[in-house]
Amino acid sequence: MTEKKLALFPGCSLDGTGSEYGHSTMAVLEALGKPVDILEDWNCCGATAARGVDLGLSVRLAGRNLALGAKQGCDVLVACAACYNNMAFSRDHLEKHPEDFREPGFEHARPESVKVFHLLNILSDQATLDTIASKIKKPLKDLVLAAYYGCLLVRPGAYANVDDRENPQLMDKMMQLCGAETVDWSYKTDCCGGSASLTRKDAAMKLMARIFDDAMSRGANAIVTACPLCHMNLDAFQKDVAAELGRKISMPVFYFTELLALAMGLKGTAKWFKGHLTNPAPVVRNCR
Amino acid sequence: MSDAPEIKVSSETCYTQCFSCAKCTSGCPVADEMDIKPHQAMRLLQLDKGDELVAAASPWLCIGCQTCLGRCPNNVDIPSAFSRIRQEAIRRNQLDKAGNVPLFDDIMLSMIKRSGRVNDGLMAAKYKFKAGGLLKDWKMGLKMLKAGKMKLFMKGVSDTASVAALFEKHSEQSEDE
Repeated sequence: MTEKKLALFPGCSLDGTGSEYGHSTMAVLEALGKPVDILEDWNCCGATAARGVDLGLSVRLAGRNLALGAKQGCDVLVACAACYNNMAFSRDHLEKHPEDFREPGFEHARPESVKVFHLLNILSDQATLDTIASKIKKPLKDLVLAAYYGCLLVRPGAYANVDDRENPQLMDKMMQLCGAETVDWSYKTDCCGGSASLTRKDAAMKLMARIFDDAMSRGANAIVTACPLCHMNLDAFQKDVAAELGRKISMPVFYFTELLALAMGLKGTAKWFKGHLTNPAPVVRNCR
Repeated sequence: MSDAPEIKVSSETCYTQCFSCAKCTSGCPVADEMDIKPHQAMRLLQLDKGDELVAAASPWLCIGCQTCLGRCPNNVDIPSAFSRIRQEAIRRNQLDKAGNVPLFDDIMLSMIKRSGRVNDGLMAAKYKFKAGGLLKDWKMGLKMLKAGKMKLFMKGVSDTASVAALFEKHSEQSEDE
């Protein structure tokens, strides 16, 4: 996949509301013999704000991180689906228009020469899956998961690196390897409305209602995700969504790295789970 | 159209390639709320009627999930086109259908400009304070503080000047090529 060293771009969420994703990512990479450094002096990728009102700024903000990777001799690994989408968008644009990133201090750094990977891609090649299988200590017993990929990880086709854009299986297979069951469901790549949950809560609630409704109807008892925005959104607003849906919801939401760590018996899971707003304890009771 | 040339929808969005199959609209999770549906929006651009789009609610309702782009047979980048339209609406100060989206974007962008990063927990609180609703959602804030999700301090970028410089080209470079 990559010859160069990988540097992790954590993005703002992994330092903030999604800190358990950050910690579990580092723990899992370490346990699998793929330790990474953090990209030095990284900046926000521009998130939804820059991408939504100023594409040039969005390309430059993400581009600075790619240029830092070039300077530091690294390819860039991204855990957040939204950051990943922005970085890939920027790289794709700068490949065609390198003149759009000409910044003082980065004169010789070629941002478009840096490859961008999502964490899920780095962990789903056969060799890594074999390593994971050999390290399972506590299979994820009684966990029935709706693997939720969300929108930005799987789109668009030009640079999304997933097995199937409409019905991806990467995360399902990984979780099955860990001893969990996964359900076949219809909303695994539908948007949860994360970018609108503050500005247009009603719209976001509608989208989340469909996701929870289908996940529960298929018999899932938890959701697993690879995006800190999806996690925050689905974890925090279950009471409001229940009111919209007219159906009680109590569905823990996990980062796939937390479940990998749990299955491999790594330290830290109990502490990470305390950062969840929907208590995961009832569904992981038998994973010990 | 008098104002049309000022609407700088990058040629890279390929809106001229749209043949109105409406696959975008079929899959759009918020199309039911849109006054101008995604495929109609591309048609307006083709007809040089971008002004109608600048005045519409649709660009502000798009949540940027890119389902349309992922499924478009002609690779028309509708979310990027909507982004250009929003930029133009801001430039014209034509924001009556924008709701609180510009307020949210402003808070986020000023945080990025100042420290290079976003403290997402604090940003949400700041937005709630300005938009109203901080009192209503205090329970959520408390829950987040307790779970350690809200951090009062977060390390920023060291070289903040190089991030601020990225904002300087705001108008000159974000135009069509």
